[in-house]
Amino acid sequence: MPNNLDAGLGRIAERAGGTAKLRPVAQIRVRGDRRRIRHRVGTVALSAGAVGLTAAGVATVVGNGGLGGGDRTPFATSPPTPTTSPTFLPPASAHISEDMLLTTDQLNRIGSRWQAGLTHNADDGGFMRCQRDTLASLGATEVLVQTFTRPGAGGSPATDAGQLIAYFPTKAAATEANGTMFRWLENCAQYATGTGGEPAWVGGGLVSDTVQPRDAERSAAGAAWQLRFDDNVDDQDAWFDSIGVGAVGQYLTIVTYGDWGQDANYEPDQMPGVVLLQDAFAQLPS
Amino acid sequence: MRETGDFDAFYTHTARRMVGYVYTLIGDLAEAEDIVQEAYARAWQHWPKVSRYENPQAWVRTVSYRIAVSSWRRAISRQRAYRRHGPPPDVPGLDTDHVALVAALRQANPQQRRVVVLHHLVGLTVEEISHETGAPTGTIKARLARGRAVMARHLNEDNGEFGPHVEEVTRHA
Repeated sequence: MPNNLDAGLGRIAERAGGTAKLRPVAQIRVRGDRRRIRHRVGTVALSAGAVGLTAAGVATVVGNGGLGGGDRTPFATSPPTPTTSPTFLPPASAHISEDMLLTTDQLNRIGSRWQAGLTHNADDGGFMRCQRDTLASLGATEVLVQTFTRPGAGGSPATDAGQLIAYFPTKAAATEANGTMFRWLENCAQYATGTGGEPAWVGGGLVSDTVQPRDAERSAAGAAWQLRFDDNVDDQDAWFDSIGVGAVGQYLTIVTYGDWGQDANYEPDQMPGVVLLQDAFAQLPS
Repeated sequence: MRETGDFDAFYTHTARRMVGYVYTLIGDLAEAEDIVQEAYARAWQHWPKVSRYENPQAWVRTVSYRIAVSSWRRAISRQRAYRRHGPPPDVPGLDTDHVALVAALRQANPQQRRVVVLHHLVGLTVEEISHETGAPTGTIKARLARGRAVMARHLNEDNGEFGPHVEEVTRHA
């Protein structure tokens, strides 16, 4: 067998290599350059964002990378690109209450050791990856954010999760904002460079474009993504962000759930972005 | 400013062979192309360092493997590919032996498959595989033997050209 195996594998590999459709080397270099720029720009942007937020007296929502989850390692996938200044909407009042938010118990059904972080109403356009602008710019009049954190296992970086609820004056406005968020996430790779506007590689993508409420009587619809971000090519670990976005009545909600490691293995319908979005749907007025 | 000439030559002369290597690991040509191109992009990203390595190909091979073993990434990519294009096309002109061997490779677990491919396709010795994978030589030998045994069992069932007796396989391990 060894001789046959050598020859057989050689023929398979030769045929596969010979028929492969490979991009020109110039495109490979551009792709590599974008990865390098993403790392550099993102680190700078994160530092700048932290300074700005400290000045504003808010230490939660960081411009790039989504949630302000403790000691999350700054690695860049997309520079912050909100087109308007951070907005701090009025405190949630009549339309959003804290009992609409996800709880640690709900997160711990997926993972473990999750703890509640901060609850606030900062709307700076950087709650989730690839978010392009504030919720206020999409017409929201109220926003409430809940962050969650957990320590990393075995010396790995801490991970974070969170939920944002936005209230809109009309159901149509919430639905339209949901569509805008969908396009932002669907084109996440395009936004990840932030430098030349060309598409860039981002691992993963849309998991489900039809996340429905568990209760068929409720009117809600959303989508979920699973994205992978490498921060170091010399090891096998990476960040995995599971994101769900959906609209219920006049509400829009975003849920994010972070994992760190070599892999994030979930069945498609058990992805945190899917499960938590369904949890969120059940708690929002339709 | 980094010199592009060395990298361009490196890519031109080794990328297709790398696709062949990855294809034997995962059995999906489109995915192999994507993985290899991503690995070379990372090589260019770190080219000042990678180019000084004694064997830059080994670095790309390792990075390719790490990308390939992410079952999560494969699942997502395939889901997207199916949604957009239907089942991915495979290598054209497959003969039955080719199909049988690819199917047999899939019977081995990823670690066994990697060792079998590194040994029988890339031509590395057990010691070189140990160095590249970071596993002890005893582990490499065991994976090689078990991987070949699993493949042989599968091939014997199919009575293909590559269908030797298990005894013969284990004797060579």
